[in-house]
Amino acid sequence: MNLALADVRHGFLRFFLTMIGVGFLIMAATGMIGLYRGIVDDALLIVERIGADLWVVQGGRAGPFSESSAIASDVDRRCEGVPGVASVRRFVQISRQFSFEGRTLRAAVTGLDFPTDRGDWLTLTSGRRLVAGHFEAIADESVGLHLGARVRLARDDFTIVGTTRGMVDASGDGLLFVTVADASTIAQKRSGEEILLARAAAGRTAAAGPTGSSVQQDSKISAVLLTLAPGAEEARVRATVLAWGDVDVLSRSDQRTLLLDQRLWRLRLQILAFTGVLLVVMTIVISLIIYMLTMEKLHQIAMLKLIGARNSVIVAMILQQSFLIGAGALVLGFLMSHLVFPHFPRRVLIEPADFALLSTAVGVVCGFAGLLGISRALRVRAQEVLS
Amino acid sequence: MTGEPVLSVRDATRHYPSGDTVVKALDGVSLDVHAGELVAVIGPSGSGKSTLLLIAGLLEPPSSGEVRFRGARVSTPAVDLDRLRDFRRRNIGFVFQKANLIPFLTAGENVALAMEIDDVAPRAARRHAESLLTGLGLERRIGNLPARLSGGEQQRVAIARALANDPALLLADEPTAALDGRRGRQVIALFRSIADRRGAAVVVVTHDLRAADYFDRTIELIDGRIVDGRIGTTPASGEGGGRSLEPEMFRNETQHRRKSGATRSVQDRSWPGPVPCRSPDEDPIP
Ligand SMILES: Nc1ncnc2c1ncn2[C@@H]1O[C@H](COP(=O)(O)OP(=O)(O)O)[C@@H](O)[C@H]1O
Ligand SMILES: [Mg+2]
Repeated sequence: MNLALADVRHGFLRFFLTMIGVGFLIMAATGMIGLYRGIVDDALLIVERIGADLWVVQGGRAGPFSESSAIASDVDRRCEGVPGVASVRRFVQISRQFSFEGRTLRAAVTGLDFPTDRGDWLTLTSGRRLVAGHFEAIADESVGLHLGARVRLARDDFTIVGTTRGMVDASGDGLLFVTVADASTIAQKRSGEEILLARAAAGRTAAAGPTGSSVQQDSKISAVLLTLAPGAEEARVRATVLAWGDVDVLSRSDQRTLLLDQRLWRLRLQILAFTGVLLVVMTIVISLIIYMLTMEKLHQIAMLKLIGARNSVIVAMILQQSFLIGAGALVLGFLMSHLVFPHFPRRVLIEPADFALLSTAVGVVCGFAGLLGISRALRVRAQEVLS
Repeated sequence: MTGEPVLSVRDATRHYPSGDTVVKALDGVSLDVHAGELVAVIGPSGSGKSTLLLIAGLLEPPSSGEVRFRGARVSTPAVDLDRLRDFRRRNIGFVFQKANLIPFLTAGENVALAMEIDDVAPRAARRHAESLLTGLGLERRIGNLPARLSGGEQQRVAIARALANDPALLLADEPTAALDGRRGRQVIALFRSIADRRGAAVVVVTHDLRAADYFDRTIELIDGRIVDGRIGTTPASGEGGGRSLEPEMFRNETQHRRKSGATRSVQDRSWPGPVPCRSPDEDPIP
């Protein structure tokens, strides 16, 4: 017979509650890691999916995802002339808040360079891609707009012709795809107050001297995306574009590095630190539970020694119980994670490899906790049964 | 009685430091118990009875003197008792005032456990446990947890557990103290039959002199010394004609068990039958 199992069966409710408790800790750790993965994944989403080899961005700036970027309106035409460039698309993305059916929604309005780009790289969950040059939009489900909805942006009404799932920007706002022309209009559209403020500012600077504003501030195009022809040399294209002097060039991996190591590094570190704290808490809690379970059984353990049980019997009982709790908690934590996290506002990405790593960590913790209990159990003397 | 005594305590003392002084819990005690013998140890509280049992049961080392088992020296003041656990499991059964059953195992499992930790296959252990419990009148309690059993029933399960590995020596420390007089007498009767039928050497510490007629002899301890010991005397009781053979069989069986690999069988071990009654008015197993 298996002593550990017999004990679990006998006090099933208690063990189950313990497993649920530890399961919640595992769920929290899963959530933390998943949140981290989700944020990284969301941040990189557009960079990975949009299929650009090089990003031409405002000179001296780190690209539209790190700081504001505006490039001259002829950069796309200049790029078309560069040998080795297969396709050129303009890119613009702006965060907008708007009201729809009485609710205030947020979206990252993203321009598709229609007709070159009709959103063919998007995976639609319903509807179709853009067919008209104006007033059509593909909305991510997370924005809260349904297929066929009409939404007013700037002074125009847009019809939602398609929907996507899971397409968000680095801050978690759903993407709303329109044509680049429409996106520029939306970006340029300012409220009456903004216009007044701008006028006042212009008046002041005019009084102070010539305005320092450059061409770029008027342009709403934040980057140009290049794909290279097969066999084209990335370095040569890059050198040609950089020679213009007013733009910078970022590769896909530059973008990754910028996003992860600069824009998001604090958040990443914070989440990792929290995950670390959770693992420490989990270690302490599991260790305490196993230790208490062992302490409770010292009398029985002394009795086992008295009737001549080998240490292996006692060690097996404690370790098995420890791992049983760990395994049960992992299963429960896994189930709860899959039940709960999909309802969270931001994506919680549970990667099998991460969960495997977490399981290993829990295994190590259970082993450690078991050893703690065992070290106590092995110090019990058989005659303590009599006291 | 011919042959070596099963248990032989030689000139054992046990000292416990107590503040500046030393308590002589046991002060030069010698005791031989042969196979098939049922010996009572009596004496006032604090006279060293439990200490004697702990030393005889290899749970405490003597401060001086030694303990022999079938002539072989097993315990001395320098002994590492933890290494005698295997020996204890195979040769000595213990019963205490409290049954000390594992609360999360059924009566049957409690008994079977004692065999499983000695590498008996689970199924065989289970079957033997059932036959032991049945022999003790507990056939309807096999699947019950200890909490569902009465004190007397628990004590009988503890006795079945002590018997599970067919020990040559059975030590009981006030096993009847928690039972009423009638049940206490039944338990002593049970020990009598264990000595008779199994040829075990049985030492029982007891206060209960109402059951004195069951014992082959009685040893009285006072202040750690034997005052009325007849060491090595042949049992007065005339019972057990075949007794001298039984220990022999038992020994052979033990020998065989040890050699037969990790998992042994218990097919050859079975409960000898119902417990005999001393007098018709006392049914030892209700
Ligand atoms: N572990 C111990 N430490 C100190 N003194 C002990 C210990 N065990 C027993 N004693 C002392 O040894 C004496 C004999 O005890 P014990 O054998 O338990 O007596 P009995 O079982 O006859 O009542 C008592 O005075 C008791 O206080
Ligand atoms: Mg005592």
